[in-house]
Amino acid sequence: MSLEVSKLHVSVGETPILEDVSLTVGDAERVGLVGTSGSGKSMLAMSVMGLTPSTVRVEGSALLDGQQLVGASPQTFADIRGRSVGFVFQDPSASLSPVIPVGRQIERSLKRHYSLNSKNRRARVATMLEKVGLSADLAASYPHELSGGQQQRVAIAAALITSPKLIIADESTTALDAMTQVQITRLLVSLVDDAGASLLFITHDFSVLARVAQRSYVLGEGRVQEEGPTQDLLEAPQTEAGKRLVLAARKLTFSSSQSDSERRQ
Amino acid sequence: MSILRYIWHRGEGRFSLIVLGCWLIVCALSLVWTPQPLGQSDGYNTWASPSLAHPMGTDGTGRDMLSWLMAGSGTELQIVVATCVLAALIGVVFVSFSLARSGLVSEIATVITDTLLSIPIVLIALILAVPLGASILVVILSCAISYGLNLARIAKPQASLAATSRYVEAARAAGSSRWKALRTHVLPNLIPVFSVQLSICAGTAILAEAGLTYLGIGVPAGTASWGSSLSSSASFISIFPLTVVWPGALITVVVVALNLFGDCLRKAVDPVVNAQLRASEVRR
Ligand SMILES: Nc1ncnc2c1ncn2[C@@H]1O[C@H](COP(=O)(O)OP(=O)(O)O)[C@@H](O)[C@H]1O
Ligand SMILES: [Mg+2]
Repeated sequence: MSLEVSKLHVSVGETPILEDVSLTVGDAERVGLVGTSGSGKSMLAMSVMGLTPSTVRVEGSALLDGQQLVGASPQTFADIRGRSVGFVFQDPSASLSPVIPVGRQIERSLKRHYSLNSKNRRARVATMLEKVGLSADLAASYPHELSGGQQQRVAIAAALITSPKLIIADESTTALDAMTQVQITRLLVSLVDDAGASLLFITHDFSVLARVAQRSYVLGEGRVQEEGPTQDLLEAPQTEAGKRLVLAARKLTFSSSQSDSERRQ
Repeated sequence: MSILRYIWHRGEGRFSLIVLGCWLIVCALSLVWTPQPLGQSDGYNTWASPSLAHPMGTDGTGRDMLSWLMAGSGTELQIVVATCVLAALIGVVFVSFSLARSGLVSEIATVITDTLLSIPIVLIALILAVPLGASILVVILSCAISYGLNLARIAKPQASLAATSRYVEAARAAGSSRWKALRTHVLPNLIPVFSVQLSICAGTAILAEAGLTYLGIGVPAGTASWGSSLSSSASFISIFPLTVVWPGALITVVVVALNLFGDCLRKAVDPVVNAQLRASEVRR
């Protein structure tokens, strides 16, 4: 499934948040969107899917397999969300309800979009839990009984259970520790590839991006600053925004490997 | 069931369950049997001390205290149940209004809540008593309005926290409508608050019944209730203290039991406080 965003303008009152943003995610392609915190990455994802509050004005065009999303009816969005497009959010402990067992949160979009009986649904949930590397008995647990990594696996299971053809992952690994980040990114990539789905991977962390996306966009101050193969961006960023992000990623990698070697001595 | 079991295993919970259980049993019993017929008043045997025939003595018109208190327990139960159900409804409705997407609707709901809350319950009851007269309805409605709005105000921060949470956003991203997302995610968050507040509301409804009946706008004369037993003897407390002590003690014990029950209920249903119970209940 392809997503074609062109000339997207998003503003709150008189304040522009995104200006003239164009971005494409091809069929079965994994694309990165990187930018500092506050550059408007989440706003882009939310406005494309019609999830912005009513104070936010969205103009321009966003085509999902040719279907116009900007200004689409609530009914259209409700049919697309959770069926054609799956979301994985940043902080799993916040995006899972604390009072509902995780199994029921995973089956939510299945229940919303397909008429399966509860036995079939539960079987699908069990399969999905195993796919994300969790035991099927965890369906009865509550989020607070799981670790951060397990919670994010649950969130991924919830986003992928209806086999959506486009996955939007907004800072999906940011709240996790480095080891878990790597595991979760690998998991997400392999699941997306197995399903033949497209992925829009949003992050502020260039070092994670290299594992995920062939092609990336750098967002800064509400505009696309540069775009290209992730490897090229990482090796030779052309713009100020790109350089700063790459530098930040290198610093993190460098200082952490340095302290590792110090510890070893 | 496991919620009741949890409450039973706590000291104060067991006390509250025993008291409330006795109350229900006495209610049922009073429908078919009271030690003395209610209509009987013995003009030669007023203010009698406790005896075999009148275990709690008689009041100023020679009516058997025990029989009237037993019959009164049914009236109290009606008042408590009706008040709690109505207050919960009012609370949920006003909380929903305050979450409305339109700023105007939530603004209006807040103004109504705050205005009505500033009117004392006795004043609400007096206004209601104009068309309704002295009636059990006055007690129920005035308590339900006052506690329902109070409930809405107390539950509102919790509700709007849940309504603007990431998990409601996640539910919307999974295709749920806004209304559906709010219903499934906000209501469970309100259950702990509601259980405590409604139990306090139940206790206060009993106290309000006594107060309003004393003022003459509560339960009408001739209907058995703890408040009417209390108020008919209250002026004679220094001469015949027992006739005031019986209903007074009864009201106190039941109100305390209701409050303790609410505390335990919150601990039992509060998913954050009681993870184990929840886990065992789900896996059962
Ligand atoms: N509901 C909103 N109303 C007004 N401004 C908002 C709202 N949500 C986000 N913003 C603003 O939009 C900008 C981009 O935010 P966001 O998309 O969350 O950034 P990112 O995800 O890249 O960290 C920020 O400057 C933020 O203050
Ligand atoms: Mg963000």
